[in-house]
Amino acid sequence: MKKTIALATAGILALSLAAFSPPSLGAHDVDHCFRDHEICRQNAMDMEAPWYMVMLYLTACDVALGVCIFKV
Amino acid sequence: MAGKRTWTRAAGAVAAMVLLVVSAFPSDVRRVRARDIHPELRTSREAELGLTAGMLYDREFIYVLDRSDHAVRVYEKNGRFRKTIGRRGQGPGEFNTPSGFSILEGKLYVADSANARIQILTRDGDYLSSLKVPFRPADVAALTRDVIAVSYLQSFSGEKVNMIHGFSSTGVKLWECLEPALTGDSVFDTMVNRFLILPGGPGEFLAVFKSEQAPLRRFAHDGKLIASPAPPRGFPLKGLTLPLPGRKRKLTGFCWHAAFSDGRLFVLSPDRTEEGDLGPGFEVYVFVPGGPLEAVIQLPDHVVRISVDGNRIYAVDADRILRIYQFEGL
Repeated sequence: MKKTIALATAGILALSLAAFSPPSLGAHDVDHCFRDHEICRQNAMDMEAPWYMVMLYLTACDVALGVCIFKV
Repeated sequence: MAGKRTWTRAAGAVAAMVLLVVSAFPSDVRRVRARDIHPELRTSREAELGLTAGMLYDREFIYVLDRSDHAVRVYEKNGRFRKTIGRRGQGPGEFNTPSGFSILEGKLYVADSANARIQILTRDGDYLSSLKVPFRPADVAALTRDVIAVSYLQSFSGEKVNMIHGFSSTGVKLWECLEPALTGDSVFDTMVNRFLILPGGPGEFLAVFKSEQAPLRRFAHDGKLIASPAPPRGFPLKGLTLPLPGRKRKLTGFCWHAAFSDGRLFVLSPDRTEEGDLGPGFEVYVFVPGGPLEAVIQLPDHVVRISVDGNRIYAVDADRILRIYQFEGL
């Protein structure tokens, strides 16, 4: 169980870094963060993967949104 | 004696379960097996697709919205590749991350998500016009020549916004409907608020949720809710618990994808994976919204998108290959 949680956490962090494109991380605009967040969520929902994977990706989108806002 | 009693109880329990299953699944529902009528597509490079966002059949042609190629792929009804419409960009006839499309009276309406617009093209791909929308459209359904329903994926940056917006063909906002269900858990909320917009009966359209307790909504073309019919008896709603830490929430899996044809709704039910997750399905449940279950069509493969024409189901399988199935008996 601990291994699964650790793997899921590592997966979320890795996906978070990949979820938003590099230019958006440097953009000084909170709106841009939210725009990328919407695209990230749309990508998650169109990925045609089983739903746990979609939820994992959506979590990564939220983490990436937090990172993006923090960087602004 | 105790052993005999245990056997009697076990037999009673099994009988009760069989009775429950039999009574839950209506006896007059037909089970139909569809067959693959173009198996050569399995190895055809032209039938390979990227991440798809939609699939439609209209007047002898199959249209697949390929999100990763930012284009619409057009096939003949035997699966032969015909042409690609659009490419990545911001100009007329170009798309950026398209997320849904619709066909009405020979016109193709594409939700050009990242460009925040709906593009209207001829069915051959010639650009006609576009309308800007004040959000990134998630899906689109052309209801009439003058009314276009556009869905919006609830954002967490601001206030609660209705999820379907009606626009005129010139881009004038006409109405909005369908409040999102929000709990404050963004992942759960996104999963619960995923839906497709499909044409319905005359003067109506449908919102078909992928996972919800009340997964069907019938709306009039002016955005007014007509009814929220329950899934028919015998339809398998599949529970899924959110695996992430925190308060446990349960999703009720209803549909992976769906199509509306000849007054009937064809719902591709998600299938339970070996890991207990819900993935692409192979069973299509057929019913008139609000009516009884008519048939269950079993496909030979797990698929992610479907479109129906008569006794044919066009699909994109889980390996992202175009497939064409035929069934008898509906």
